[in-house]
Amino acid sequence: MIRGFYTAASGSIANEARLATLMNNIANVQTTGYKQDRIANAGFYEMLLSRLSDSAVDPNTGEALGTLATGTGVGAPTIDFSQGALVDTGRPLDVALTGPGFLVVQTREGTRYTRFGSLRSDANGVLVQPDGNPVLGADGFIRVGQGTFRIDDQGNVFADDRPVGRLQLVEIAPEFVEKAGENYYQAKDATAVQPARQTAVNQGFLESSNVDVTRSTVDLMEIIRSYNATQEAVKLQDQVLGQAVNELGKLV
Amino acid sequence: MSATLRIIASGLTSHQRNIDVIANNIANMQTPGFKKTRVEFKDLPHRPEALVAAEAGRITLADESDGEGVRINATQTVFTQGPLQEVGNPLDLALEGPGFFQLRLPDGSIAYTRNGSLSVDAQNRIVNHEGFAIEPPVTLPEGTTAVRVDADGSVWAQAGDGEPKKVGEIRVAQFANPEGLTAIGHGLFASTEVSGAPTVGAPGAPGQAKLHAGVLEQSNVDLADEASRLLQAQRAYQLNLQALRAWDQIAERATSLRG
Repeated sequence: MIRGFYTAASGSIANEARLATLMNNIANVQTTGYKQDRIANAGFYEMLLSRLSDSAVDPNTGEALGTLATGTGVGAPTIDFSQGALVDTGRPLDVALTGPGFLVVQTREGTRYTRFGSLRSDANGVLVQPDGNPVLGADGFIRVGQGTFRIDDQGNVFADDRPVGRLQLVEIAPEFVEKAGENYYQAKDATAVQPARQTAVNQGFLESSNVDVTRSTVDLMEIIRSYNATQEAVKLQDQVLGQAVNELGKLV
Repeated sequence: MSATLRIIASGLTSHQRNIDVIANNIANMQTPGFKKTRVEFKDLPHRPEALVAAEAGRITLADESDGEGVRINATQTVFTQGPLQEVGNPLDLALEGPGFFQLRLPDGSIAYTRNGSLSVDAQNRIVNHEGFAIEPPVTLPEGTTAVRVDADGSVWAQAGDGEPKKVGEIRVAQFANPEGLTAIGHGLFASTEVSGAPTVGAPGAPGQAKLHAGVLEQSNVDLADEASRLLQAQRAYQLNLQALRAWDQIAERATSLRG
């Protein structure tokens, strides 16, 4: 009976974790290139129950009674890589990717990948992210200079109509991608990083966050209800236990 | 639980800032040479698997991690060209293409602006609407009745029926990375390490902006665009408020369990 308390409590705690993930999505509803996290509940490992005493079978192993699951937790989150809507900005250094690919950025912590396409040129005319980390081309840094700036859908970069480089675009199998924060992703396995085949560059656009507002609102309501239900389950256990202690044990 | 609350707080703060910036853009829709600003967000690492781990068959409540949710990545000035409007006043100047007018501030430093709405002050100097002198300084001779600015920046002054005389030149500045300039208010910008040093030259010279006299550059704020951004920003804020309410309900439920 006491076990039931923990089962119900694990449901409450899992709901809190789901809520935190949902909040994180909601906070990033306007973050350029953001991909929402999806989180699913996962059951605890089932345990095999055995009766050890007064058993007719081997007293060392006991008699198997069946399995018992003791609650729920949250599984590893998955990233929903569905395409975000493109927003027309008209700014030449804004690029949005369509398709599954990423831009490649060189940071102090190593190579990072991003869908964040609001690019800058730094004081030396090198194409960078807002934090100053350079966006890599197929042959190193891309110098865009001061003049007119154009990127075609293959990622070829032209400054004053002269080709100055090509954006490095990569595709990574979703299961090998993890979030590194600050709009960056990292690859769990470098061999999973492949040159892009189905990714196109759209100049003058930004990709908006793919957080689904309607779905998030529904999920919020669902979590509140589910949380309330687990709390009721805790209360119920408390009542049953109270009855067992106070009523059943009463001597006349 | 309080980590969750911090995520919501980060959302509310960031989206509030976004609304402020959009409101400022709309307020400056009629300011000549005004360049709109936009807020860019960044996500912060969120690790739900650290919060509750089911793998080992036990519940692990992680240490509260700080810095989850969303932050402002940058507030960025968008230097796209504003529409040019004919106004007729000879000292109303507009730039077409990237570049800035230079102004000498009272503290001796140089500020850069796209607002070319100039006039003449009591000492006959050409100044902007705030009274800051154009750099290099141009002073009109006593008794000037007409003034003209050419596309190459030459300023000509004419007294009565006399011949127009060249009295100075307007120079424009160009930056490797204009988006690295910092806004210092009144439509003025200051150079930074990120923007690089300016290249100063005559307007219309190769790589420099074209100068138009009798024309003002309008703000590059598009009301329809900005209004739809404002609506989106408000909705984002409301959604975060709803999340706060949900958190509150759950927290109330949890604390009143023994009721």
